[in-house]
Amino acid sequence: MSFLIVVVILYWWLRSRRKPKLSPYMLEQFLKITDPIPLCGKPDVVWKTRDGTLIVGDYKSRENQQVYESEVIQLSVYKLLVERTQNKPVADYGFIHFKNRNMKKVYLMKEKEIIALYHRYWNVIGGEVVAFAADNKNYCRYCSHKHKCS
Amino acid sequence: MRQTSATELAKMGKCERQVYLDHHHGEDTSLTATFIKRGNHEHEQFNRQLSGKDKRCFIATAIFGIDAIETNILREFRDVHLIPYSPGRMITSLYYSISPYIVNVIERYPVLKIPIRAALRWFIRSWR
Ligand code: SF4
Repeated sequence: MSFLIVVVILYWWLRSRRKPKLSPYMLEQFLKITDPIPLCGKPDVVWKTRDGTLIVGDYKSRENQQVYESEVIQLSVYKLLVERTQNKPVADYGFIHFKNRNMKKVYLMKEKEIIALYHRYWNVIGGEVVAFAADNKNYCRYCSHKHKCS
Repeated sequence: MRQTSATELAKMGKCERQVYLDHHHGEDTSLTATFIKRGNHEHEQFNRQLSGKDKRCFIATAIFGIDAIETNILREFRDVHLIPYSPGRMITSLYYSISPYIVNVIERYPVLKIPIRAALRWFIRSWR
């Protein structure tokens, strides 16, 4: 019995000394870059792994674990911001954290794709390209432009 | 080239037409205001969990509240008398692993709050 107690105590002692697999490295910190393109953002969390790699994370206040394209874009921008400001290796994936404490790993866009999207964004705003309508009609339900959008 | 935020760029993944209309006619968030408010509150909770503000005193937080005097006294006890010593760290680690389950039980049977509150107050009084 006492042997068992010693084993349990030893286990907890070793566990308490072990570095966690992921520890928060940065919380809601505003980041800004101008190179390669001017971007800014505030990732909810940046995790640090035991080997020092950083991983971006974003919190979503819902339980359904579907990941939307807009979330991948947002997380990809965070990754680029962290990469350019922290001088540390950053994983090419990130985590979406859900309300029920679950998290999902998502692979992120490459730098080139983000740059192309940035240029398209400003072309859409400038009316230089045809702006596509939403694929998912659920977005239209809460869109304030639904009456003037044909 | 103009500064663009991650949130703005992310809208491209939803609807490009909305990006155009938001920019030229303004964004009206009245339809989504409730979601935004709830989202902000939950983001704050998530942040608190990660920053350790409530993660580290699960039971006291469930009984007294996140920023209650009692919760802060117990945090102080942990930081001064437990964390600096190996056996203390061991106890803390054990506490962190079992306390979420205890909190679940407390939430299911709120009547348990009465004896636990009394016990924690007794502990605080005798320690101070
Ligand atoms: S109603 Fe809004 S979300 Fe739907 S297509 Fe039009 S602009 Fe896009």
